[in-house]
Amino acid sequence: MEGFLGGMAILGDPYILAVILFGTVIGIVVGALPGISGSTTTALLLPLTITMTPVAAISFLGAIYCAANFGGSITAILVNAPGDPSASATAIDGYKMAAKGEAGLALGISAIASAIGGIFSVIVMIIAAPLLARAAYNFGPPEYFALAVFGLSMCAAIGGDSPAKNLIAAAAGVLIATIGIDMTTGVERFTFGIYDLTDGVNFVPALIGLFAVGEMLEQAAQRAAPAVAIHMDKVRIPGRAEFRKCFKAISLSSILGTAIGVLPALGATTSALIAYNETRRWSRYKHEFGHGAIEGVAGPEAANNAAVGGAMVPTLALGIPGSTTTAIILAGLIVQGIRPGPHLFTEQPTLLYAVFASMLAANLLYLVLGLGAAKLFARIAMIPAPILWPGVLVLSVIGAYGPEQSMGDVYVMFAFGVLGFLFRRFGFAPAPLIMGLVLGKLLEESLKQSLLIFDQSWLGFLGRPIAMTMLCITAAGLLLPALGRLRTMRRA
Amino acid sequence: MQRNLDRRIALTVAALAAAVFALTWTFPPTPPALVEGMDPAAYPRLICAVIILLAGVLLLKPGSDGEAEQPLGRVFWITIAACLVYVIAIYLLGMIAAGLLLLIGLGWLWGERRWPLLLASSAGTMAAIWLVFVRGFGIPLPLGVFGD
Repeated sequence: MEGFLGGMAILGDPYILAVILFGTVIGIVVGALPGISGSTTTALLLPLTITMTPVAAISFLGAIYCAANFGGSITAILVNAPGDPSASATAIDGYKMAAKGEAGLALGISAIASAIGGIFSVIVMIIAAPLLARAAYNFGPPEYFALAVFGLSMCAAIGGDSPAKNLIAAAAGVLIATIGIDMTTGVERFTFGIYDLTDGVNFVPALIGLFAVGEMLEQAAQRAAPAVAIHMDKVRIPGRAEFRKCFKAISLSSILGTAIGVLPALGATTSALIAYNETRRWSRYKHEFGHGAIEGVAGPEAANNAAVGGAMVPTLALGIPGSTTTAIILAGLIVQGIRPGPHLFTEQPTLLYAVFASMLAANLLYLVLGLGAAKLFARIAMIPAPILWPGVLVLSVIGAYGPEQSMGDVYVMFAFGVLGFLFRRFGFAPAPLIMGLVLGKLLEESLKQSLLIFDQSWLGFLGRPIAMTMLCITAAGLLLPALGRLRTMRRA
Repeated sequence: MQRNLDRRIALTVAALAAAVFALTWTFPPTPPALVEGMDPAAYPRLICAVIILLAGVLLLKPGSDGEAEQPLGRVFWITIAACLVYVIAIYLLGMIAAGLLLLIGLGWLWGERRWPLLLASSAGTMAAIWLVFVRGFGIPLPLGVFGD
């Protein structure tokens, strides 16, 4: 309770409030910019947080994460170009509503549904994260190893062309995490005599390169035709009848989004797509979907914002990222010298409750800003690509250079930029690579410690029921869909 | 088409993983007394083996006839060249001046022809970056051979 009150007290600090407001505004603006996702922004602005206190840094990143999902809906509705991938489901009916002259209403229900979903998930996070942390308090290395393997296996389900490609990307991330000096023996691995690599690959330039530079090169490779913007007067708050119509969609999607967000690796985009399908399935007005259904905006928006709080639960309680953006936030915390996990709840409860408080504040702030200034944000989002993307490149270079003031990090960033581009080009999602990179150290350390405990015998895992259960779930999750596909092929 | 592409990707991934696997033999030998739990080379080898296994799965996966990848256009190669020139320009002119030139040059090459907008936005962006990073956070940015 003391930690909770201490955490909430940060909202009385004008500096933290200003950081949250700044993060929220940035989150909405960049969320609205087509091509720049919340994860890209979080990666791009990660260097700024290095000079902040841990509480301010995580409040800033948390606010961006919350607001970017909502921001994505603005351009999804007005120009049919989702600013954030998580708003792709919103575009289906949102743009149709705008085309019918209901852009203001679509933006209004989007802001309200987003805030309800977001606040619901933060409340779940406040309750569930400490409980999960308490349950995980006695986890040893074998359980953490199994948990990390489970988290990485969940990458099979996110983005990209195929589960196999996602798992290859995740494994590549784990392999890249081995670069540098092995902490137990002092042996240099894959450094090729380059001094800058002895401490391993720095997270900040790697993340900026993969997301921002990789996306910039992708934009250069396929310059999309400009979308046609739809005129809107002003945001309209939905009436009682419209709200009643959306109530079921918002409630169902908030629960679904939070639950999906809690699963490692699965974030806002998956939540929104599943919520859109479920909203349509349970709607009385199925025929309206695809033609401008208000529930088709409310459902995915509630879900993608609910996934934010959900994704923070395993990130904070276990140190296993719940989504791509939380993987970047986790990297930001590690850079700050903080390793999230169950022990953080006893060692630094104020920091954790500060996260909860800042996310709650960000959800309320973007509701106010979304209802009051969506038109302004939409206008900002119309920055021409020839102005926007070179700016992203310059900011990436300075962001990569800034933390260590090393040109070596700039080269690392460019290398990861090319890697990110090749990944996108050949159907690999960059998110699993980040998951692998962030979880790589935990995976290796926990495996080595486990083998030490088990006297070098892998069979030792059999004597750890929690670890075995997680490993069995992982194996089932990977093998059952593959066996199902094999059976379908044989029948065909 | 897609299936052939996936096969080529799978073979490339397997070859790269095999090359990294081979690189682990170049690690200096570790005295057994220092090894705790696992040899420093054994873990990357395990990951490489997993990658080769996954590449095998990708190789056997039934593919669909997807669309052929669009060839990379002129803008892409110009952007790559601009990145290389930018890095060299950082050494010569410093990060702020090189950044300003990149914003103007790349913006023009990407198709922006409204000079007042291009110049104003480029100058504004660099001024904002200088204010935030140099003045705000006190991060010294390289000034180039002339500046130093």
